[in-house]
Amino acid sequence: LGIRVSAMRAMLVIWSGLIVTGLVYYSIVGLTHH
Amino acid sequence: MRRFLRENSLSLFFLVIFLAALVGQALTGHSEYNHEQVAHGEATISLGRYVTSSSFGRAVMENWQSEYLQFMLFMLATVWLLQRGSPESKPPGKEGREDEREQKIGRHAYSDSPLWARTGGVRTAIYSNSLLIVMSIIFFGSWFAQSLTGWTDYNQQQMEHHEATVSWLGYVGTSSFWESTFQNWQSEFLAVGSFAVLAVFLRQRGSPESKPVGARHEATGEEG
Repeated sequence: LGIRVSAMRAMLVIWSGLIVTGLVYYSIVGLTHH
Repeated sequence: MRRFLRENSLSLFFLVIFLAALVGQALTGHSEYNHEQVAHGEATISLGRYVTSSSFGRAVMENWQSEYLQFMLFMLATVWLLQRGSPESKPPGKEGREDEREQKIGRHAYSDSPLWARTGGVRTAIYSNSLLIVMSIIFFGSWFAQSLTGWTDYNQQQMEHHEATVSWLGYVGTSSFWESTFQNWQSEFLAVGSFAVLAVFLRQRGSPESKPVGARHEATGEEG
């Protein structure tokens, strides 16, 4: 069960990481007039 | 490893096609951007410069925000609103946030329920809306990112045309910003609304998004 939960958490980390990276990165791009 | 792939295949599948589509958007967007530059007698840019540009960022962010708005609104609307016969709707009489027993929170939680569902109080109140809270943050975050990248992109075009640039607040008031916003919203609302109705009468065997093939058209909130 522990392995399954950690695999599910890994998916959460991957997707959250993608979204946060995209939002923050392009906010900075827009703000710094790139 | 095989079990990991199988048990996470849904999110892994979408992760792969998301990245593939994003690469496709970057390659074709870059080509389109440079065509425009040449047509206007301006310098072309590299692919690396394009994917780190406000032009590309704007295109990505405006689609992100509308998707998250769609999911957020659908989740919120289905708490209170019904579509008789839809697998996505609750049956009539079940409207609302439901009581603690139905929601398995506080003293009705299982011993292995998430901690914040068991504790009661503020933590349970937050956890009870956590999906909505996070989806809203992503929606407003990507809409904000759209406004920033759109602003820079808009001003770059204004400068190329020797016209006056605008402040961020000025850009947020332009029809350019709202046109790209509504353009994305309308398609999301169309898809969600029509899906709720189509799924009353049509079926996809084996899909949890559909009612079982033999379910009656009147059956509401019955998922495959």
